[in-house]
Amino acid sequence: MKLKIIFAGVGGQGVLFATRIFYELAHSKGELVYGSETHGMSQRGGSVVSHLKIGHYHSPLVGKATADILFGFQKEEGLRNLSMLRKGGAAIINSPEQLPYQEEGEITLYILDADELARRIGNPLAVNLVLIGYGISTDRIPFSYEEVREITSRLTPSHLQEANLRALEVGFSSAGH
Amino acid sequence: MASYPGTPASEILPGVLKFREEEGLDVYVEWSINEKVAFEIALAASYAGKRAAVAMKQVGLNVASDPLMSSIYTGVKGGFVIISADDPGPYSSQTEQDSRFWGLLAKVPVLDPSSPQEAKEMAKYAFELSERFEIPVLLRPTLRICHARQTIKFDPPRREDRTAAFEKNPHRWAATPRYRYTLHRDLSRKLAAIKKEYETSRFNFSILAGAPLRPSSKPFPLGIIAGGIVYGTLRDLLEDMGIDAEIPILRIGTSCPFPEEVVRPFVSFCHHILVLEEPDAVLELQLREREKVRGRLDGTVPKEGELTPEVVERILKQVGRELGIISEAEGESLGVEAEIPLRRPTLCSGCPHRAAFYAIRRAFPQAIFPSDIGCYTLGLNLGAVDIILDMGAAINIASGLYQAYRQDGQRVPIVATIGDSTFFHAGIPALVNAVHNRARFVLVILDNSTTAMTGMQPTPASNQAVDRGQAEAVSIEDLVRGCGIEYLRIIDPYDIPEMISVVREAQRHTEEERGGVAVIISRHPCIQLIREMPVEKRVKVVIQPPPSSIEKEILKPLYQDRTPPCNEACPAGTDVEAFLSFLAQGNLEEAVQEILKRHPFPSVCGRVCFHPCEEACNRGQWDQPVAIAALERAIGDEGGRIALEKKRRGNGIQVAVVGGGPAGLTCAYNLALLGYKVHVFEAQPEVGGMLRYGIPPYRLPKDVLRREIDRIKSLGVMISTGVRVGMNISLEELKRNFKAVFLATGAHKRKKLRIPGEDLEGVYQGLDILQAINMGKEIEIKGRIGVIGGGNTAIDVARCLLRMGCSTTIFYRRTEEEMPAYHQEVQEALAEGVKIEYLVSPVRILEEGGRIRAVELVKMRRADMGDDGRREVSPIDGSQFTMELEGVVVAIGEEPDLSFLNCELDELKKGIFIGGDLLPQPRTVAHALGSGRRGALAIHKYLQGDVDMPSTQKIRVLQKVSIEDIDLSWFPQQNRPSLPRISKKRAARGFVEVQRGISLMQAQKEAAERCFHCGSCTKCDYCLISCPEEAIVRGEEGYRIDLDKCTLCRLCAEVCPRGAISMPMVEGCVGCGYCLKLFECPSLIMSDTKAEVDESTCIQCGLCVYVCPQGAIKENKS
Repeated sequence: MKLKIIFAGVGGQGVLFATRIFYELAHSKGELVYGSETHGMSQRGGSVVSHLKIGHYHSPLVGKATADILFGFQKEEGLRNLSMLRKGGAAIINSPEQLPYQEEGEITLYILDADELARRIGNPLAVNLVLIGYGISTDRIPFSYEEVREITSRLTPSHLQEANLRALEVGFSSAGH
Repeated sequence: MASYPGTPASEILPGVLKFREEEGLDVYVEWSINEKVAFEIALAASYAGKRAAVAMKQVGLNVASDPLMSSIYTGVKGGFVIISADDPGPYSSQTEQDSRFWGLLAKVPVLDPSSPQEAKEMAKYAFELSERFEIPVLLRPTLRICHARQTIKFDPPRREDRTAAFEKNPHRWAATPRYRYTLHRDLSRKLAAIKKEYETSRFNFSILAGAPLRPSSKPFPLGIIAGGIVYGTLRDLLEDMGIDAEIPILRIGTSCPFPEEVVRPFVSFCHHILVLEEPDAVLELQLREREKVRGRLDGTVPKEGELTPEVVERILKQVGRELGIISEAEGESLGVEAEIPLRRPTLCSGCPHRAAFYAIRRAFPQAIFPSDIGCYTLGLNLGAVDIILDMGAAINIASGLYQAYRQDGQRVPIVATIGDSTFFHAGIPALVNAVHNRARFVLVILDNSTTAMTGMQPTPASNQAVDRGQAEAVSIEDLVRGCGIEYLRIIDPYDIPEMISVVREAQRHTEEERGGVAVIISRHPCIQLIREMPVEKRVKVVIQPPPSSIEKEILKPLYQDRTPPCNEACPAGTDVEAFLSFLAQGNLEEAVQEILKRHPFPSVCGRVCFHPCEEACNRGQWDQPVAIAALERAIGDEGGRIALEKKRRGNGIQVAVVGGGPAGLTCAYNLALLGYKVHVFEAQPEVGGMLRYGIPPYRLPKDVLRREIDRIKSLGVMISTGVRVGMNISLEELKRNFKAVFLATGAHKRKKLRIPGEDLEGVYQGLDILQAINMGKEIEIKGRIGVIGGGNTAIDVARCLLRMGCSTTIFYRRTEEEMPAYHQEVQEALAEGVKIEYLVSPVRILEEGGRIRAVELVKMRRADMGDDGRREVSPIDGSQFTMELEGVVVAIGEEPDLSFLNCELDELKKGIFIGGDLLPQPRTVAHALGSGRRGALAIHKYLQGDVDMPSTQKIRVLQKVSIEDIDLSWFPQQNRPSLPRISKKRAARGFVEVQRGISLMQAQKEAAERCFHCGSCTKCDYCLISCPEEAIVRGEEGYRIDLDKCTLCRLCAEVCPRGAISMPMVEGCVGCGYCLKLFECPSLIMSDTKAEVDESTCIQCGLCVYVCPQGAIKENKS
């Protein structure tokens, strides 16, 4: 398998937790993983981007216009990193409104108001899981919902189990809307 | 292992700790106070034969460079590895320095990994190498390796069960310079051997198309020498570009000592060499065949910034095209570019640093703000950080700035900020130095009880070690005090107003004569440490439609002098604040003129007025009222000889004033100033009225009065004494000869007790006694004297009699609280030895040979409230008693004698005006002066119609200033000057003035430092320096607002220390953007033209409620 994913958001959104789910998942399937995280100077509210490469690679960084998937946990951060996507790549972005850029780069944009969904299930901090669930439902990511669910469950402390899995599910089943 | 946190090396020590726990290893770990300390701690363990490591970021090794340089010479015993993480970019460092240069400068062997996996292998090798050659080894990862995740294969841990065994060898461990030479020679030998080993090291290899490079007959047009993470980037790129079979790569993992024998054949095998390494040119500089080489030195590779895949791709394409390896056709693969503005890093919502910085800037917008390394560097977004250099520099920069300015005789406020961890790191020696060299500045230690920016490592103030073991907590405050700091305050910055106040107080300490460095510990835990806010304050921004242009006109700030309480309270109508403000400026002349615009008696009034201004003074609610009376006296006494401002040209109109007391003289004086020809008629031999004949000389020396009367005379006022109207001249005659008449004949008719024996010899009237004393007449009175009454006359008489050798007792029918005499006078009388009996009333005076023998008195009790609001008293039956006395003085009041009028006061004809005690007003000097002035103005208006009145200095709006309008943080509590007086003994011996004045210098200090100048602009510039839009301009006549720049934020009105700027509070968002600009909370966002709370990130700290000067941010209680 060869897959490059960019996770972009702001501090406090659980960008690194989201990345970790895919690290662990790929690792558990015997894949090599390599990636890098950048976070700005402050803890909350600053830009956070993590790069993940699954497969045999020599460097942790994803080059511009080479990523297969982009998760944008926050609209601006998603858009800022659109240029990382290759032709034919897919962006899964948390945004309350539809976004342009669809046509010009031969990329596919999947938009979900994950903030709203997370709020609706009373777990506003689970935007990351809602968006991941949604991403899985697009069939652009070569992992199954069950696999992701199992890893998420393993990485989640017991008192958050139910809430986190619910968020994942809400995201996954939102595609039908 | 020891370390000091710093991005990107902070995760190393916690990683070791995790392995220790997982594998059950016995590894000692500590967060040290700084990198030098960490280095030496780990080095010592190595000296004792144990394996040890120290980890830090690249700039940390600057701090530890001293032990680094020296330890290379001494060498080590147990394997000793230094990890220094570089930050190409840079992402979170001050520099992009390359730690591998230490390999050249310190001669330390260097290992430079290209991936996390390799870093692990190199670490293992480094220990082994270090131990074998007894030399420290430097392992240098970069940020991309430190912050990478990779699938890594681990070997089982190798346990080194060593016991500490330090072998003494002074020539090595304590080498003197002579032996250092030997050690250097040993070092050279070691390095030569390591270089040999490096030349066969598996960490140096060449590769082509993923396979080891084999010698071929045909040389390559381009070969790349790479080190570090760029090697990986390069491999991926060459594969992607499909040219990995055309360009061989030599990967060097051992940058120093340089493995020349590995490099030489590779270089000779390629026509051109490109060197790719980060962040500087360490390999490149060590290459001998320079003409082939492309890299940073010739500009092929950018000298700054990270070598990201994009940058490397660009370099490859450029060089590839030049050398014909890549065809021109291949352009750059472009992604979709969305133009999104960069998110600038900001302090978190609810960050206590934000509160502290906001308060610091509010306190001193114009200060210089040196700061330090940590999250709080972002205080620069709030305009409260000006200088950032390196760890601990804030304090030294502050000291240096102080010295630089002081040398030129200048003082600027300097407020330095430093974090708790940074203070421990390098702040302590800096603070000791500042104290020792007598620097003066404010230092705010931002204590959030953690090392926040690098991920919440404990500081030495914590009682928990990194492994959750017990640690000894070191108190920051004790350290600060130990550094010799005398001013130390600890405060929670969440209380922003208090923080502002403390910063100002601290600044004052730096300005005091014996002041120095003032330290504030701003203590509130990092918001990341406390997940739940203790007090949740939901906030909302009140939105309202944008103000129209007319509304804007109303909403703009207005400089407008308001009425201070002293002015309002002054019965004489003096603009107290105005003369105090001149005095504060040291302008005695203007101060005198200001008083003389209202009345001619500053020296007199400063002595005898009951000063209701001081009762009203706002300062009295803070500490003690301003000593206004003493200041007026000082102005009158010191400035008495200053000539009056030119009076108006005479108009020839004649006005008569009947009665030369304070009211009459003030009226005459004001009329003269207005240009009238005034004639004063006085019944007594001299003018002055009660001032001359009533008030005893120990309260008002007669030469003081004379001086001020002379000033009135100097205006050309005619005075005829010994003329009693109704006897020597009739009112009708005056009416005929003068255009107007002012009657101020006073109250001189003595009230009587109406009891038997009142006409006996030895029974006197109080005023008669005072008059006799004031005229210098001899009075035969001695022995035990009783004074009946409770007013000022009673007290004055009692004190005079005391001075004449009598033993005096005052009998007053009511209680102490109801006594009409001034409290202060009563206290002085008691102090001098006057006795007072309350609730007693005389019944009759007993005689012996036509002379008084005794008085019979009755005790009184308090009864119901009377019609005048005073409590009535009634005699207690059977409580009569007799008191043997040689004399009785009746002082129960006087009333006007209007027998000369032939009519009632309200039947007076047109053109006749009354003042002073003829009016139904309190019979005080100040009221008399006020009525005299009002009389003069009324006469002026009567005679000349609606004419302009003489102008006063300040035009004030009526709105009174209350203490709530004053920003007390500007005014340290400070007592008024003590007013000197002669000793009681001396006072009782004669009629020398008891109360002495204060010096003009003291008076000026009092006016400048203690007067709030309520509601009056003092041109303190604070509005000007506070305005975030620079919309306030200082002009000749005060400040001007540039309305094009003014955003109506209302900060100026909010920060004016004395309420001199009027601006209505809208209590709704005016869209000024002030909160975004100077509070800069990420949860306050601009939506359209209004501020808005971003509910998704707001943590309900409630700090912003204080911030909006328009009151638009409110607590949302619903």
